[in-house]
Amino acid sequence: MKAYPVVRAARGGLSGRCVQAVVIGLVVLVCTAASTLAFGLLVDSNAPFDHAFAAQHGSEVTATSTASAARLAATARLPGVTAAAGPFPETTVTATMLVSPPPGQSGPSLPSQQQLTVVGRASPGGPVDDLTLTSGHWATGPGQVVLLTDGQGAGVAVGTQLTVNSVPGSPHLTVVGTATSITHSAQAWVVPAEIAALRARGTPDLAQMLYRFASAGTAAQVNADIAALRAALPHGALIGAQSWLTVKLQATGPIAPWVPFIVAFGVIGLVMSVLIVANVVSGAVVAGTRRIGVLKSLGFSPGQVVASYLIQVAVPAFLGCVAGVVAGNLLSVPLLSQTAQVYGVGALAVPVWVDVAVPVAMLGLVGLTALLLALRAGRMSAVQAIATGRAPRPTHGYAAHRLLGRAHLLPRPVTIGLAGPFSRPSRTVITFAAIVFGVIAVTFGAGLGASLDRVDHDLNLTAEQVQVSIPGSPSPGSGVKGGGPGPALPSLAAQERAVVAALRAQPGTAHYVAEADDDINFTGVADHLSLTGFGGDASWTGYAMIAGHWYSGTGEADVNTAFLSQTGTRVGNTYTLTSGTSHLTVRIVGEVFDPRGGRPEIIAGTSTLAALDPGLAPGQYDVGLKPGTNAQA
Amino acid sequence: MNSPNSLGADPTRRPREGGIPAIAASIRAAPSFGMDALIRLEEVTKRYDSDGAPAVAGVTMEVSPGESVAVMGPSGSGKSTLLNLIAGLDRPTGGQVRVGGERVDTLSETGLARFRRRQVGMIFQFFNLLDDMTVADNVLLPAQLAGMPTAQARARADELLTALRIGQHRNAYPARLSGGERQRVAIARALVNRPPLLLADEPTGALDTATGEEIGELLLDLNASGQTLILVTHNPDLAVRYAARVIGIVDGRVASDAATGARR
Repeated sequence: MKAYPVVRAARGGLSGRCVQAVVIGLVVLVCTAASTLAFGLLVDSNAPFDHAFAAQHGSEVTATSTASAARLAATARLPGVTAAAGPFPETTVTATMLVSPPPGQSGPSLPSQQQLTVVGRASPGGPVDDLTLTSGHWATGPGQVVLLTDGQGAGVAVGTQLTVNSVPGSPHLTVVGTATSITHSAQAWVVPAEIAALRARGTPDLAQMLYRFASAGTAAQVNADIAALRAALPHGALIGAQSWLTVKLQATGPIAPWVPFIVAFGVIGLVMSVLIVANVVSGAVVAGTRRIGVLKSLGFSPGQVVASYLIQVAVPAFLGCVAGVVAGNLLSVPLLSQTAQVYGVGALAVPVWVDVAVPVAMLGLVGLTALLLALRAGRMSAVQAIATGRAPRPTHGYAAHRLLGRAHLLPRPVTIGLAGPFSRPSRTVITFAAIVFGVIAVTFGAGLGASLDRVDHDLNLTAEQVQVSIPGSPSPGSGVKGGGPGPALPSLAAQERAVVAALRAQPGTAHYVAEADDDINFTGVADHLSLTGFGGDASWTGYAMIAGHWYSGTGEADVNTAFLSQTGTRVGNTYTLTSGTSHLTVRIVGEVFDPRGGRPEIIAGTSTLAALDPGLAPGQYDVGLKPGTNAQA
Repeated sequence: MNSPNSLGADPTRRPREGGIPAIAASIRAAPSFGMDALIRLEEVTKRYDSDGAPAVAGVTMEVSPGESVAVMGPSGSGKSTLLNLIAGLDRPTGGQVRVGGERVDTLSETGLARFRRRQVGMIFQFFNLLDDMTVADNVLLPAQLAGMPTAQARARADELLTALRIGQHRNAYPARLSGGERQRVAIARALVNRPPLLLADEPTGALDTATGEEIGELLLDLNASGQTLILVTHNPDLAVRYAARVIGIVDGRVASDAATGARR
């Protein structure tokens, strides 16, 4: 095949149809950028976790049980268990320590009271959950503790003293090291003999077992593995079983909400790009059919015609791919930096293979689309090409023209225009599909954003709702009970009485309810549990229900989706929460929509939650306003 | 069928003085294929619809090298279809088409492309120039396709454009040219590979009378230089003036085949 005439013809086609070339280039650019971004985020949101999980032989199931050590050790030989570690004695303590501010922030270290799951391990290594020491050394004797670090630099320094408040005598522990556990199997480790001294009176003897299984890639497989463990232990002895998939979900949480949307946009962009490219290329081929006929009459072979049209499409597509990869990488920088912070892995970038594979796939896609259409054009006889270049194929659209011609209510130019698409049905279908996907993309993008904004707004503060904080009340998760430095404040009870009186005096007050929030540890789940307790009827506060109904009495609670997934429960189940020496059995009556993420949350009356967290006290009042009331006033 | 001999080219005839003097030098005489006829059609039929009337119905004819033949008939008579079959732009549904001894109707698509490059120069009613290429590039393209060395192809294109009095427009785009100038470009493009056979489909149909006559004279001169020419027209006057032989087509069949008094 003589190349120069082919290239010359393609160059002529490109210069003669600049708009088509620009459209192809832009479509491919946008699609490549979206795909690069989507793939990059997908890979980088999973890769660091997977890498660390493999390196540390992460625990696929972390079980907490009251069974004897012998029974637990026997579970290591269950069918499907490929590796196991433990049993390790476990307990939950409340400890006070000085926490330094994160790197880059100045200020003194502040005292913090936290609940910690403490496990007794003789060494950091083992066949499962092979811990990585990031500073100091492993605990070698009584009074020493190794703390879990999040890898972000904030936390407790080696040498810091912890005061364990949950046991008599408030023993002190010295932080001798910090370690990372990819599955967050505990927040602190001591030598096994130390656990007995840290266990509060009346709390059960808990032990931790760590497992890896032959099949644990999906939630269903992990659930089956947990069911096998449960069956092998005495009834009720398995207190909690944490799946590695849950931990992974939490670890990838900050970026996870974006990924499905970006992938969806990537897929829509991909489909749209195929349709638009097909439309544009078919348009170019149809518009250039006469030209194809002329080229063939001059002696172009079908192969040369195909090559000419492929080059004509490939040049703008290639430029679009290159620009799209660059754009995708630039767009990924802020999003991937969030992922990097989560894992503490420095900087993340779109993997090189994504930078290569995406444009190659995109070019292949465009090339295939163009090839199919160009092959059809190349197979036409020159006469047919010259003839059909001027008119659609005979018989196409005749019926539509006839039918619409009888519609006397419409002007004839309108009926001719309406019948036009039937003359070229394939192009009409492609155009229609591209428009449909375009509408989907716009609706998806605009509608989703607007819906989430609205839900978030509704959940935080409706137009008729305000929050009134109580100064000096405990802040959720701070662990610091009581006020900080500053002038002395009246007692909380006195402040509550004052707030209630003030609210009642306001003519715009329609409802009000005291709200108490706290974060606690509870056995069997790695993450903290958010408690939200209401001191009265709070059904009007605007929580959107996914399933079930709002709690209506003591012992009933609503939870979010993360709670259900992490505890393996469903609406209607009864579940016992254990935090240190406190137990709470609740009936889950509803699932609330929680747009803020993956931390488990339970919502109930304050009196119900007090069984689990005796220190739970109102921190604010949620106030419903009468219509027309100015919230700022 | 008329005898081609009575309509054969007159090798002693020279191009008209003051017409296009240089054109004769640029014309290659039709090569001998070792046989009498350059074109031989045997019972050629072409149907576009399986149940419709044939566009060309059992046409048998021969054209000798150097002849100028006008294919004449009313609109829809099948004359353009006949020309397309000879040019290898379309395939017959029956019969045989031989050009230069080669069975055109059995060639593959690639074979047909090669055949068109080497054997045929085609002139269309509406010029069919490539609007996105300059005049020079339009003329050069078939030469490049045929593998002619670039320098030689440029020289040949310049020679033709000058001879056809459009050398000054060599870098212009076709859209800027008049109809007559565009048709001259089309003729230059058709001749650039020195094809043995020049086919013209209503070459003056889109031109005004004066320009049409000018193009007609040009074709006449080309034929006088030995170029085999088949001209399709529905205009009897044009056929008689510019062709030595007129084949009349009616309803796809040869209705007449006669010599004219056209000068050679």
